[in-house]
Order: sequence, then structure tokens, then C-alpha cells
Amino acid sequence: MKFTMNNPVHRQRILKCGWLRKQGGMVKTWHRRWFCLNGDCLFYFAKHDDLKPLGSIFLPGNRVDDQPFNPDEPEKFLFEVLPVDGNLSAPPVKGRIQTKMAPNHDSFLLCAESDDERQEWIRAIRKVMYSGIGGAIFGQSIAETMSFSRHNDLKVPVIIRDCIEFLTEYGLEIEGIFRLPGRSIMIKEYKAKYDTAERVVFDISNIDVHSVASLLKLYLRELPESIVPSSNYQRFMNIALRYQDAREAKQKQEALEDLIDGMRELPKHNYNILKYLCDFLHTVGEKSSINKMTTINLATVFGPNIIRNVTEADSPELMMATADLTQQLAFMLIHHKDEVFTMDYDGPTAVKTDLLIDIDSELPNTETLVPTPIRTSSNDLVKAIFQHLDDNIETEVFSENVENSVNFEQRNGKDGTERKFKEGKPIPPKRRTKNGRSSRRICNVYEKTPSGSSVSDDMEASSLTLSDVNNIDSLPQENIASSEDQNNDVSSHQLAMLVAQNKKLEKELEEKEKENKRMQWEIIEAKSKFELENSDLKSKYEAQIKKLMLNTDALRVNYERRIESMQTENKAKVEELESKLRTEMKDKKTAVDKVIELQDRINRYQLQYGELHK
Amino acid sequence: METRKRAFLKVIILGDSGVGKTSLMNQYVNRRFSNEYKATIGADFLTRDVTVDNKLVTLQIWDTAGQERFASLGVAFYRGADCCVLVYDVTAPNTMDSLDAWRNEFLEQADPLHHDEFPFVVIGNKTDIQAKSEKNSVTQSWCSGKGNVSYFETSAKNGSRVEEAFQTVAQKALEQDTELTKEAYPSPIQLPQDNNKSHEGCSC
Repeated sequence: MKFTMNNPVHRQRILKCGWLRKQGGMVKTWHRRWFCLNGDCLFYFAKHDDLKPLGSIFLPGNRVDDQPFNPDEPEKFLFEVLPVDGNLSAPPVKGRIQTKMAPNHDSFLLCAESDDERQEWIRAIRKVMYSGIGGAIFGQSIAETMSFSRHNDLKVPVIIRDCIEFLTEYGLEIEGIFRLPGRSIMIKEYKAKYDTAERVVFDISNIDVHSVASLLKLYLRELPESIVPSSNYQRFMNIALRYQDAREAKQKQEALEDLIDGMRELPKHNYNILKYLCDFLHTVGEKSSINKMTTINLATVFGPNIIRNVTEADSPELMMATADLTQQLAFMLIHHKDEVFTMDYDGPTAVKTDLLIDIDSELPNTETLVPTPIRTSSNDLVKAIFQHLDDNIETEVFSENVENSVNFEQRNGKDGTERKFKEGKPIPPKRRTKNGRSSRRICNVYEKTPSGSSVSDDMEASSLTLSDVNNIDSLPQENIASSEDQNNDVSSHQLAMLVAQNKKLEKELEEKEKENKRMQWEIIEAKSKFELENSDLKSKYEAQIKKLMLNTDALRVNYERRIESMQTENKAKVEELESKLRTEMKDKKTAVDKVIELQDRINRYQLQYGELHK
Repeated sequence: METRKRAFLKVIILGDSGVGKTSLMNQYVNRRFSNEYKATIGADFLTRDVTVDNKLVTLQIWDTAGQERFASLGVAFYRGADCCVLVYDVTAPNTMDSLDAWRNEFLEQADPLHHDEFPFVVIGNKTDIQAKSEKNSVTQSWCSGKGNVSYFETSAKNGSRVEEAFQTVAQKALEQDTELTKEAYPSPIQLPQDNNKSHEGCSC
């Protein structure tokens, strides 16, 4: 690969490299050559690290086809690069139309190791030949297809437009449209036409409805990323899971609103395609009395075509395990298309908000048909229905079983066709577990296998994480490995019973967990509310305390001042009184002294003069 | 001997969507037919006990979604299968053309020991709509060209020949199972009868 790897310019344009066998131009012998698809040319080298190519094939203006399987050479997967007959776009060589690829080759006959490898090469070569002119759309990303489209006015790839217009005209009343397979030769032929940028016109005399429907599905299936891109996979699957698990209309509505919100994340082209497709599928579903394709059926068929994880290609088990969720998502998108597709990327508004369409439809759904104000009145019905569904362990929380019970008067008039309705009560969902026989959807088997407890434990009620689903991969092997271990019948019966039991328990556990979660939430809410209130009160009280403290301070100062003043006042008084007392005592003393003096004087007088009265 | 271990046989039903795989299974296991038009999600299985050669065996019948998207169910689903039922719709010739693809897909994924000997049963369904398959001879020759393949024309709706078809399925599955067991556990090495028996007693 030196030729390419050493040269960054070349390296950038490398589309594909690999070993192929090439038939010689003159002598028809086979040689193993290293091929490199680089820019517009297919180079071939004797060795993979050769610098100089043995030759090159200029691709544009030519075509590539695979050669039909030859039973004599079952190991050869041939394809041929050859000039287009009467190719006018190729420059005339020496005044005549080019019919040879190279001087020594009329065409290049190549041989791959396997059919897959051959298809990869053809796809890569066609990409070089046609993608610039609007071809090679199978397996090409939506963004690329749109950027190369020759129809600038179109919001969706031309193949989708072509298919849906054809099917709208001829397919709406065909039984099993989108379910029944088309003719594989026809599908292959038209796929090649689109890939080679040929102008395609579907003519009902040439192609049947089922082949066109299959072609559309094939196109969606081969997109490198599904219409819902893998970056949105987790979110959309979670929404579907919540919708599926929802017990009440309110929860369903919440999931639906989440979906509506999620639609904003879709790239523009993807959104437009999805909207266009779901609009059409809704129309198909409206005719389900004739074509038998109810929205549920359409959702089953289209689910895995609308959303898939990139890794699903390697893991059919994952695809199977999530089949009910992809179906659920498709159902939401189709059935609630008026609510979900509210945006319009081009033009101001083309959004239909006419609910009457729904009411006339074959699939009246209690939740969405009834306009919001009336919904409360139908709540009981919805509740009753879901209650009924709850009673059955294995129900899908789908309303298909419900459909016949609701609003059937409204439907009878439609198309003048009478449909047989099975009484006015909900039909119990089909359960396959009768008479102790075991059966369940495969995904359930894997989720609930006892040995896979880690998986099911990890599966949280409301969030399906990819890693969990991936774990499923490893389980089937164990399962089947054990069934190979000749302990077949007993273990399988036990397994089935265990699975059923486990499932029941799990369901209970799930419910409990949900309840638990809800209560936890409530507690958290209450706690936070309490804390909030608490802190409110705290600050309030603190403020009051502060205020009071200030008040007391002020008062204290006041009192202190008063006390001080009173003290000083008292002191003064005391001093005054003391001084008064002192003076009084002094007075008394002097008085006493005087009395003593006078007494003394009397005594002396008595001594002098004797007693007066003696 | 038969009470020792009841054989447990795994059967896979494949075919294009809408040919009646689910209906066939339901008719066989529950003896019921539903007019409900419903595409299968993913895969389901039902079991039924059936007597083959005076032996009671349990058939575990896997019904699969026929949608192209599910064409490749992967190794896990196919592995350990003892018989594969290929169904087509006698009123839709293109579903017969797909038999090859379904057979190849199965052999590639399940990768049984001997591809050419693995038992298949082909069922042309919906004979209630069209009594005789136009493709009858074509199908017959297809079947005979593939080795171990039986062919039945049934109606899941009225039950015609469903029982016989699945009886054959059970029969073939059991044969396959026994053969596999044989190969997995080759017959024990027979030790030659000891000649020393004549030398009873002490040889010393």
C-alpha cells in the first residue's frame, strides 16, 4: 500500500483497498491483484506494497455489474466493470463511441472472495461512478444523498418521494402493503436503477405494489444510520419504554411530550423524511379495514427500519430484544403524527392540526382522539382499559386490543364498509400461555432468563441502557448451549416455569421498584420542601432574634442608664440623708452635752445651795 | 428406556412475511385459527408434546418474524435446531422463490454438521384459497434436489394436513437429534470379554 499510504494526498481519497482476482485482457487467465479505489480510478498492483500500479481503470462513464451465479464455479463471485453501451457522455474516441475500457481490455472481469465482499466493491465503485450525479443512494447517508440530489425542491430523497407517491396512488387498498414481500428480482433491478442514477418511473404495469414497498423498506434498512440517528437512539428508546410501561393516560401523555421535545434534536433532513413517511403511513392505517395494515402492524414492520442501533448489525439478538420498543416508537410516531410533527423546516406551516382525520380513522385511540377538554371524561374508560391490560402479565400495553371497543359508532360510517365488532368490551390481549404451555416473546426470554439475572436486575424500570441490552448478547448462547447439553426436557420445562415465575416476580419487583422510586422521590421532594421551609423559618426567626436582641440591647442601655441615674440620685439622697443624720447626731450630741453640762451645773448648784426641797 | 429422558426437539419456522407461519404454529399447537391480521414481532415459541415412534417428545416450535429486517436472526436463534420448516404461500409464487434464500440463511447461521443432510420440511400454506398449487411440481423438484426435504401443502385456516406436516417434522427432528447424540457420544468402547474368567482362583 506504499503507493497510497506514503502519499497523504492519495491516502485521503482512498475509498477501498483489497485483494481481488482479475482476468487478463488478452489471455484469459486469473491473477491475484491488489486493488485500490482512489478518486475516480481503480488502480491495481502486483503486490500490495508496490509503488507503481500495473494499470488503472477510469470509472466515471462506465458501469459495474455483478455476474450471475455460475453453478460450475460456485467459489467465484464475479463482477465486471464495462462501458455503458452507446454511452454518449463518454468522450468519443477517434470519432466513434467508446466501447473498450482500455487498449487491452474490453471490460474488466473481477472476482471477489465472497458475495459480501463483492457487494462492497460494487457499492464503492458505484459511489465513485454515480454519487455525484444523484446515484449510489443505497447505503449512503441521508445528508450526502440530499446534497447530491438533482431535485433541489425536494425535502426528502427522490426514491422516498417516488415510492410514496406510487404507493399512495396504487397501494392504499392492497392487502398487506408493507408486510408482504415484493419480488426480489424486481427490487434488485430498481435498486440498481436508483444506484446508477437512472431516471426511474414506476409504472403499475411493470412493477407491483409490494415490490415498491419492499424497495422503500430496503432503502431505509440500508441507510448507514437509521432515520432516527444513533445519537438519539437511547433517548427515543427510553421514551418508547416509558410509553410502553405507562399505566395511566397521563404518563403516556408525558412520554409523548418527551417525544415531541425529542423531535427537535433530529437533523433537518431526517425530521422531514420521518414526517413525510409517518404522514403517509397514517394514511395507510386509515384504510386498514381494506388493506388490513393497522397502525400496529405498520409499526411492527417499520419500527426496525426507523430506528436501530449501529451495533445491531452485529447483533440480531439486540434487534430482536428491542423489537417491541422500536414498534412502540413507530406506533407513537405514526399514530400521534399530528402532535409529534409540529415543526416545519421549510415554509411557514404545513402542519395539519385537524383532529377529525383521527376521529374518522380506523384506529381510534382513547387518549388522542378525544380533544383535551373532554379527555377527563374518558379517563375512566382509559383507566378501565389499562386496568384490564394490567391484569394480564404478558400484555403489550398497546391499544390494539382496545380499538374495537371505543367509538365504534364513529367508525361504522366510514367508507360505507361494515366491520364486525366484537362486542362492546375490550378484547383480552392474546396470551399464548395456555394449558401450562410456555411461550413468550423472545426478548422476554432473554431479559428474564434466570441465569441472566444480572441483566434483568440492571434493567431499570424506566431506563433501558444500551450496555444492558448488549449484555443480552451473551445470554442466548448460554441458553442454547445448555439445551445442547442433553438435559433437555426437564430443564427446559423447569426453565419455562422458572422464566414464568421469574417474570411474574420481576414484574412485581418492577412495580415495587417503581413505587419505591416514586416514594423516594416524594421523600426527597418533601425533604427539600421541608428544608426550604425550615431555612425560611430559620432566617425569619433569626431576623426576629436579631431584632429582639437589638431591642433588648437598647432596653438594657436604657435601663442601665436609668439605673445609673437612679443610683446617682439615690446616692445623692443617701448622702443628703447621711449628712442630715450626721448633723442630727451632732445636734443630739451637743444637746446631750448641754444636758450633761446643765446636769453638772445643777449638781454644782445643789452642792452649793443644798437641796431645795429637802 | 423412554422414561429415562424425554427428547426435547427444537424446530424453527422460516419464510416470507404473511405466508402463515404464526397461523400454522397456532393451528398445530392450539388447534385454533385467528382471522386477525398481525405481523409478528421478533420471535415466539410454543411447545407441544407429541408421540413419535411410541416415544413422547416435546417439540419447541419457534415462530419468527418474516420481515426482511429480521431475515438474519443470528446464530443464537438457529443453533441447536433439530429441524427447519420452510413455509411459503401457494397463492403468492414469489414466496416460493425465497425458499432458497431462507434455506441458505439457516444453514449459514445454524451451521449444522452435515448441511446436505439437515432435515427441512417445506410447507405450501393457504390451500383453502387455492386448492392445488401451480408451483406444486416446481416445489417438488426443488425439494428432491435438496436432499432431506419433505413437502406438504396445508391450510392453517381449516387445519388441513397441518397435523401430518408437523408429525413429519417431529419425526425428522427426532432422527436428527438421535443422530447427533450418537455422534456426540460415540458408542462405548467394548472391552473384550476377559478370557481370564477360566482362570478363576488364585494364579499364584
